[in-house]
Amino acid sequence: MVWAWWLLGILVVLQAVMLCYLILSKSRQIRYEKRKEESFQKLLPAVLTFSESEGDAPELPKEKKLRREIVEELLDRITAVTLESEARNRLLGYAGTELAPAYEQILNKGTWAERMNALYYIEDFRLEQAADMAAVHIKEHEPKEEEYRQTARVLAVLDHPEAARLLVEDTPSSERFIKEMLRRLPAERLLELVEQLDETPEHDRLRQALYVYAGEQGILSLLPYVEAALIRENKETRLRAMRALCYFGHMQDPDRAASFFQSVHWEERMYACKLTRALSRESWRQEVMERLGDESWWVRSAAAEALRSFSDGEILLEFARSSHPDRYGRDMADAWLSMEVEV
Amino acid sequence: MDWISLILTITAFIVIAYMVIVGGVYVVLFLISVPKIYRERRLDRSEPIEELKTSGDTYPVSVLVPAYNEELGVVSTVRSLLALEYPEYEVIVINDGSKDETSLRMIEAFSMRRVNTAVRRHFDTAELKAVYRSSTFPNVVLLEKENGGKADALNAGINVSRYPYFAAIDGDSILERDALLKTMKPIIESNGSVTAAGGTVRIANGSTIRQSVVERIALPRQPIAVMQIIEYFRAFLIGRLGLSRLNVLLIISGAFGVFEKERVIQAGGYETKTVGEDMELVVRLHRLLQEEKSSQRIEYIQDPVCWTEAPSDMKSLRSQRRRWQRGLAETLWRHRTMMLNPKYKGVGMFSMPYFLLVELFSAVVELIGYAVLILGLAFGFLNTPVTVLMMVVTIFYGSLLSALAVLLEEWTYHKYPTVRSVVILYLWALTETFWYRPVMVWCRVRGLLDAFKKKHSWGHMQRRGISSDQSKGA
Repeated sequence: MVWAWWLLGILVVLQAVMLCYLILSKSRQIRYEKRKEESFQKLLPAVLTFSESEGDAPELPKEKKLRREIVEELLDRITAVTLESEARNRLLGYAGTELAPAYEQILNKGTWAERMNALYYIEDFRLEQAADMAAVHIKEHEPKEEEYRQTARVLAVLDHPEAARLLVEDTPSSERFIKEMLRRLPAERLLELVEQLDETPEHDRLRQALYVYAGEQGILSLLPYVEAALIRENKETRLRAMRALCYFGHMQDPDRAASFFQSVHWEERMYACKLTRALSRESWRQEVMERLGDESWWVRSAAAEALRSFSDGEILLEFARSSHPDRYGRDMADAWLSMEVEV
Repeated sequence: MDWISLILTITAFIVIAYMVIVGGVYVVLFLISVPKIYRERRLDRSEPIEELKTSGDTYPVSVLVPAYNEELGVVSTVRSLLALEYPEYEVIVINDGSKDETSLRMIEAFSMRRVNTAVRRHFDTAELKAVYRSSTFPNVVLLEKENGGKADALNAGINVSRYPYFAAIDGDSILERDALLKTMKPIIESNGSVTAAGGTVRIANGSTIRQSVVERIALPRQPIAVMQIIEYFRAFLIGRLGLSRLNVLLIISGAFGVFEKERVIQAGGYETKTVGEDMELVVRLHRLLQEEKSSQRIEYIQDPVCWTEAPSDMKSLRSQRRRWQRGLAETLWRHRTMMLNPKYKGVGMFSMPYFLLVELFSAVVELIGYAVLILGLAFGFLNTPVTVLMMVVTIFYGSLLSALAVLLEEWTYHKYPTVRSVVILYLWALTETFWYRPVMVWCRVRGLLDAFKKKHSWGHMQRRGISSDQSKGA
């Protein structure tokens, strides 16, 4: 019987301790947020003035955590709306002086969340002082970790040589992640990357990501490489090149793509139709009309879409609806003619 | 009378043992959830999704909104969806044969025009009567169909949707602006290895909502709404997170969840003959994944992404819980072959028995426990130590975990801005065992009986409207 009362007592004490902890931590957090907001409001005009003139940096609170968080918030808000480059550079220089030592400490001793936040801010503020720090930090983590990926993004945004080395020598397994890194690198680095690629499967992945990214961004200096990739042995690389060319909407030698109408792979026949539309190659109407009767639904659909994009597209589809030799081709033309017509 | 006392004592010990085991399971789930919550508790929640806002690699999503007699809220729901931060998405409102002016409100508010469109019939649904597209927002579509229920409406939405992923939401849900980004993040980052994802649903009662945005978070006045807030903390931050970390999560809330369309089509879409279509679909997806030996998984993110109105009167709450319990029973019965079947790994060996013994039958065991307690005390059949022990266990079982859930919420999102709110939540959490839990136990037992009787009733929820502009409209 006594033990039951003991158990009850322990539970009551446990609950009371938890309640006290909650009250204390909540009060402390509210007080901290209030102080932070007051300091922020007080410092905002001073930091704005500092960004526009040569004066001294404003005096910040002494408390380490509060000081860092206020600087982060101030810079985050101001740099989001400050486009004028001199003021922006001045602020980012200030960020480097104020934050780099704090971030070094956090990357060495902080919790996972603190380290991740530091890495996000290093990227946002382009803290060049932290580049070497990040190059060391990435070696402590595995590619599957989120922290590794964020550090790699930091290296790319700061254009550290380690970023290019990582892409070429330890190519990430995810094409999406490779593109995230490419997005952060300057255009001239992409050209250097293309020239470093060899025939290994890892480099095929990097090559594919590079082509698609070049197409999405319309990086014309990479267009010759993309076009040349249409004759590569790897099917995925050819498909990515065709996808990139659809984004470019331009080819120096369009006839290179014409042979894909007869490809044994349905994906290539589909992209040939999509390219017809992207390049506005009305001269390929015969080939496209044939593909309207393709065995693959996706090819037929892309062919119908290409036909519809022609200047006389409606007439072509009407003709196909009534006279195409393939029954599925006639159905597809009918579906595209009735697609989203206002009634 | 000794034999009655003996039976009651044995029953009491069985109930105690059951509750200790169930409490232990919850504690284990809590211990599984805590490391993740603790690790991420100071993480800036907006930075990790920054990239997805503008990336061309963010998969487009179709947002499906089934609506039945939602003329009061449908326009504000769609407006809130149009404010979502996401690079490419469409909003498809499915008017499931409403008897009110749901369609008219949509047509007027978004200048919708009727269109002829080719529809791929992945599933048979009640007749689709018309498709409208907005001329001001080309990504807003309205479907008008014959009434067929929520599951049927969602299936019709999937038929019309254009994108490879769809989000299913309730007509009265309010999404956080970054809800889609946060929920799609695990799907995108896993390169499609995550086939469905859901996030935390929060109760909006008491908070101020304007223009479909939660402006100020506060507690409601009604104790039953406060208790549901605590219940949701516990269900999401402990239950779902723990189960998700074990990859055996069987529920993605019907209020908001994202799914890979191709997988759902393969699974056969939403089941129209159950009231628990959200859970039933997730169980079917698990089944499909295990049978295919696929490495895909279903994930839960602990971020609060969706706000919903909870029943604020006892009648509506009772009706909701009976329906939930019936849906759970139907799903478990429908997929009974998965139970304790090693072929389905964690889902068959842990999750299904957990939902059967803890989520479904706990109500029956607890009811027996209450009966034993009352009878024992009233007629002196139980000896006092056993009675005290039962009470202690009940308090531990009911209140401590709820209090821990409040603590977890404070560690992570601390959405309630005052000390007073936290104290109120905590103190109400401690009272759960004495009034709220017995009522819920009773409703759940009734729901179980409904399932046995195959009683078809959706019940009725008295909606007060959670959005201030909506209330004005009313």
